[in-house]
Amino acid sequence: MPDADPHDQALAAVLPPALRELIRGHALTLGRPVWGQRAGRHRAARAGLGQLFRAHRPYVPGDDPRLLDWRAMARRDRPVLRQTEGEDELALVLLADVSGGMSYGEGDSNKMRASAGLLAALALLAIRQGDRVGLASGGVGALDGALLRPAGGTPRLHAIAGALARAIEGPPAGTCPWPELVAAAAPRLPRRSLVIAASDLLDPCGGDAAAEAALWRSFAGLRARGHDVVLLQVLHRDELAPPWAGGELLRVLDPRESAPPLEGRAATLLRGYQERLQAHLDGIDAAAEAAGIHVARVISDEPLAAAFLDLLARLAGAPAPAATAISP
Amino acid sequence: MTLLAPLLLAGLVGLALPLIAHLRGREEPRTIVFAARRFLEGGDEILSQRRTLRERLLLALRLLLLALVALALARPVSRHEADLAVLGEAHDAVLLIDGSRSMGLRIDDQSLFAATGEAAAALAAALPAGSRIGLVGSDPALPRIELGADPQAPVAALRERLAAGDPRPGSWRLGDRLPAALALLADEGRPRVVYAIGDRSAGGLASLPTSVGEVAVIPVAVDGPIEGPVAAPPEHLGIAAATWEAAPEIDRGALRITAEIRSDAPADPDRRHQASVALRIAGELVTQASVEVAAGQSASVELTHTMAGDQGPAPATLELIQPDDPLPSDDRRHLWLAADDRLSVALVNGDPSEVRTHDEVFFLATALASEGGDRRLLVRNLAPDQLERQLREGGEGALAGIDVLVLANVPAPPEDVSRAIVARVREGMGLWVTVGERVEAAAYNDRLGALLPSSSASRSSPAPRPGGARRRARGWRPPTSITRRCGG
Repeated sequence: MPDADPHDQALAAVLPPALRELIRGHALTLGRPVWGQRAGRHRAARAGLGQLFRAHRPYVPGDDPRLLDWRAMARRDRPVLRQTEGEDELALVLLADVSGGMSYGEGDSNKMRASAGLLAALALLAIRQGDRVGLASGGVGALDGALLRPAGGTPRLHAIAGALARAIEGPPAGTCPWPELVAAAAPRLPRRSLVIAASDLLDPCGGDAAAEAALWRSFAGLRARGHDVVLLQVLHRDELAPPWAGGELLRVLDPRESAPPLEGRAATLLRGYQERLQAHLDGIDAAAEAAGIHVARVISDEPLAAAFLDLLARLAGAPAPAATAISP
Repeated sequence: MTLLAPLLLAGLVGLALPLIAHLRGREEPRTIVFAARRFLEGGDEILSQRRTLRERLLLALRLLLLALVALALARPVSRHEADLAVLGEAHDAVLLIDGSRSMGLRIDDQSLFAATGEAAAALAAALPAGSRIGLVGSDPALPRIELGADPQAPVAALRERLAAGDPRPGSWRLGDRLPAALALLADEGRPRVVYAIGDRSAGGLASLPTSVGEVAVIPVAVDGPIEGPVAAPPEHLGIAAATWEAAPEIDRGALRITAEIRSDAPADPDRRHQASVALRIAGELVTQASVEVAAGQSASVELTHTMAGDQGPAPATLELIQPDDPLPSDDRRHLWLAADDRLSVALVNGDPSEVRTHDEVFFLATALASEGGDRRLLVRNLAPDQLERQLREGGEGALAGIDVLVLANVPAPPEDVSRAIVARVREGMGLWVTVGERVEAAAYNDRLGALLPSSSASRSSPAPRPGGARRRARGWRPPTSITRRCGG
């Protein structure tokens, strides 16, 4: 029975029920400490009020005397404070590509739908944990940063779900101005934010190699500022192994409308396609590794739950799987 | 190559069909919006071009196929070196030979008429196996050969005629003789073609249609390519006119023959020709004269000859002696010459009147007597009984000196007189019967019916004038004349 609340309707439209159910038993954890504004569930990079022992330090006037470790004072014969690990909230910033490139695929295999589902699941999980979540998107050559500043609470969750639902129904079109999007987000990120950029990354800069290199430098800059950057690359299976072959006459349009149409026989058009795509993916992996960026690759027609669990594991510090290999 | 049915080339309009099919049936590409377009092979224009070329080849083959069908329907014929066009399949053919005087034109020491023999031989040799061939000429005197399988039979007959000399006067236009050629071609389901061999003059090939029903008419020109311009006739002399008259001031029986010699198509306007004209009577040269003719001008030459006293009208030929003349057909004129050219007219008056103006033949006699100033009519007036008496005394020879006999309102000649009249008319005497109140139609029908153009009838006048009823003849449309002249 449909939910009467339009906000819940938006969330239900974006988040598949199976994925929503899966979230209940999982938590978003990071493999490294965070630096939040408020106490949260993530290990902080500073001492706090947690349960885990961190270190002893000499007492200085002004310290809370309740934190004195009496046993340590007896052994050392001077006032010593007992420090514990802090637990802060997480600032999760989602960068969504809602360009025409994400429009490919039918039904649940639609790239934008898969991307939005994963982003919504992350947002829901983070909000439930008390983390703050922000969202910025780029499509039709413009960026939308209204929700960029991370915030918590159900209203933010609904706002993000509504934005993603609109992106799905849009449908996605035009190009995503990735350089502008990263440039706009970078100065507004809280310390040690988790930045998750969801895109197919097939042609982020319209084939401009120089702009693409600058984009990678921007991602590396985010990483250098202490943010965690995860590239969630959503691909369709047809993009890995195009289903056209032989003498079928094709007219291929660029969904971003940044390149003229190509017309020809499928066999000719696809000659060397997989080699070029493989080189492109390898280039992404190499650039990400050099910049300390994680790359999580998702195939849109695969179960989103599995992809989401893998993503959570990657965020928790699990090693990266073997590089994606395209079967010829 | 020539087409027997060029109108069927309109079928070439059908070439638009594959063209439209090609344009409309062009394979439409499947449109795909593909995010990884960046990694597709560039340079697909080369592939597109190859595809287009391949389809163009297909289009060309389709167009060629349709064009061949249209050409086949148009029945193309092959053309040989002798400018001959022959249907490529077995058919019935008739050679229609132009035997007009214009074919006497000589080019390179050979007349066009003689060239028809070579053209006919080449045509006969080029006919496909199984064809039948016949022959007919525009001159009825040319041999007429029915359709036969032997291609040499018409050629041999034509060559035999050609050996006799140049074409004679009296030929028909080729177009007028086409029915005679068509009469030889029975419709047996085989293709039928008339090969007309002649020159491109107005009375020659130019008078022919391209086809008559299902019968194709193929012109074969012997004076140049059929599509080429008609060449102007070469410079030549000819007899433009020939007249004769009696010359009693010279001698009794003397004749003066005048010929006008004309120079046509002069190549050199300053050139002067020396022409010699000969007169032959019964084939024997009797006199000859010369004249100088300026280029493009005419000149008269006069010849005189005295006929023998007892010599009647004789056939004569006026001949221009010009051995190298390229057009000999106008170098000869035929005349009938006679020492006395006067006509003797006998008027038999069947209803004479004391008042001259009431006389039956007054006006006729007056008119004949006043004819011209040379008095070439000798008019004699006779009464019916005078004619009967002369005949009975002198026999049928009494009418020998009469050229025209006029029976003016004569009731009916007696039977013996009628027999003499009929016999004399058959020899050439003219008979003129004028109808009047005295004519007895039944007697005329019985005695002179063989000469009359239609039978006569009599009726009684429904309203007789005061003085008594008189029989009227009815049924002839006056004036009724029967004129037969023999000789010139």
